[in-house]
Amino acid sequence: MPYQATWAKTPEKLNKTELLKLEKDGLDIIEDIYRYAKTGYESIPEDDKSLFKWAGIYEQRPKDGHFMMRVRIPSGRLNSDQARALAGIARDYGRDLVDITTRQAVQFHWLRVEQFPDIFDRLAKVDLSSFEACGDCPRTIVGNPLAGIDPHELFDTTPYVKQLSDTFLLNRDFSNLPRKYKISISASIYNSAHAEINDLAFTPAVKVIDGQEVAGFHVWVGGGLSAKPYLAKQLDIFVVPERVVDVAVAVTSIFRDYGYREKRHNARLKYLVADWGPEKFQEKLVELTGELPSRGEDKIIGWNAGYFTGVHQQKQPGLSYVGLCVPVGRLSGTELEELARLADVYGDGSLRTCNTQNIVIANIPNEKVEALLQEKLLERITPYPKHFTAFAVSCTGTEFCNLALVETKERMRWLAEYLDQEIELDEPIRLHMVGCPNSCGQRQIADIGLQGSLVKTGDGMKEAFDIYIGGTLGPNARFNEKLSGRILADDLPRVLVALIGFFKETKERGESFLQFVQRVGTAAFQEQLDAVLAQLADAR
Amino acid sequence: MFLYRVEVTYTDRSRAEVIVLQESEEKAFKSAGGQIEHHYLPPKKVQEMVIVEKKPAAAGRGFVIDL
Ligand code: SF4
Repeated sequence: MPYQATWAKTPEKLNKTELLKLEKDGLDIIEDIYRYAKTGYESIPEDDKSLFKWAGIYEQRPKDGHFMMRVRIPSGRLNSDQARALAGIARDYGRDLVDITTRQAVQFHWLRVEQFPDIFDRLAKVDLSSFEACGDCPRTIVGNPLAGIDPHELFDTTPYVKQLSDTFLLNRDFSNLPRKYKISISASIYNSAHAEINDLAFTPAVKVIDGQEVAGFHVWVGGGLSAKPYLAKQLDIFVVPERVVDVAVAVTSIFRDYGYREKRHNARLKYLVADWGPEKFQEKLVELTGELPSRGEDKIIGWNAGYFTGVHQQKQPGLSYVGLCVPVGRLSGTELEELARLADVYGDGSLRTCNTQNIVIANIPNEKVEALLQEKLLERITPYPKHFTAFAVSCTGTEFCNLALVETKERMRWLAEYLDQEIELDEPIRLHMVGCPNSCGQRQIADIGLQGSLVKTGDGMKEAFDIYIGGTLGPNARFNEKLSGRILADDLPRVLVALIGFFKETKERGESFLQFVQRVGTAAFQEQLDAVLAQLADAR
Repeated sequence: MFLYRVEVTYTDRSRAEVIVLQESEEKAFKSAGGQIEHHYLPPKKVQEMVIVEKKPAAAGRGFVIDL
């Protein structure tokens, strides 16, 4: 039954975007884009441009008629035909550029409105879509990229990812939410789908029901990063896999009907959850779903941060997956096409994108692994990346993003390469760089997060960064903490060498960066930073 | 046009946040400097001025400054 837009009764309490969405559903823009493809960029009214997001499209910087498009890849599952279609779009329209995002999606740049009908068509032919990859609607479903092959998963979540994706994609019951809405689902005991930073997350759990141990999910609501990060709250319910869609529909309905629509900056589900608290939220949920069993036993035992580089055994005997590092998530369409070929030649055509901007080739018979490792492409997109390059994440930055204050992607790639030359370490350090507080590069969950700003100096305007340390998800999840003192971009290499050198020299054997931060405290890093900033100031 | 949030530290270590409406980062720094000049008597000397966030300008857009 179609829902009633109850908020329409009080238009004086709605922001401008809400009024626009009441006049025209975001999904209506898809048909209009076919028309604009004929009439050209200049014919697109500003209000309609803002609805392009529902088609997965944003204007890129500077606003000169070029667009970015994001393609949904639920749980990161991609077959070689799909990869080839994506590569073809990049090659023919997007200057051969492909970015893998921190939600397992793929982004193209440099597209023009005339090209969208053909691109939509190419995507549809391989069962992919850019629709609702952006906008105030359920975005792509993030999941365990290893679903179905993971020795560390409770069960295969592939069917549930598909059910969720099919339920929400192009569903007009949910295409007008108060704000963006992110779902994650994973049965990995290492929390590989970053549950706590999603609006709705399903994580692995078991519960004894009628004397039988049943595997299912725990449910988390209200997580999200951006300028006001918030860790999702766990509800006191256990959900059997068959009821995942019911629960997701109910949570999403609550967001749609009770979420805040007056001010856009407090419209995300996290604000409703923070106001109501998990108990009230759960009461509302159960009104919609009927009684649900109480929480069972949580099966998450740690956090792998979404990294799978290297050669690993699958849960299927005789098969391996090879995790490849794509430095800061950027590759060419030509490289993606070659990955598709490798997936066909050595495996069964399966590829998986990761929320760490990397890629996995799955289902490779063990005896073929050695030959795959000799392939030329794996010299750059390698399963054995150098230390810092392996764990570096970056958002888009000023290259294409209208909100960015600084350049990020190439800088992060270069910086990681530099640190790889300067420092040898046993323990990984996850570096995330973002160009503004919106934090698309998930700065808050990094071991070391770098957030860009612009400083006015005697020599003009210069790019600079704030440093944050000690973020993690999984058990004891916490966001990283800011050190005081702004670092000019040119000084970043020296400052990071000093801070990481301090860790390397002082850490105990086997101690991770996070454990070290927890032991010595942020203050110890602050002392180091103050010292190196003082040295830099003296040298000027 | 964008709304820029500019963090300012003065030579006496006191701090302020200045919000300006401008079309580019360079102009935002200039406008923030102008606002500061108007605001203080006797004048304060700026030690550091940093743009930490920008938002596309539209009616109702703004920033919350924690005190
Ligand atoms: S974090 Fe900021 S700069 Fe980076 S892509 Fe997101 S909005 Fe743009």
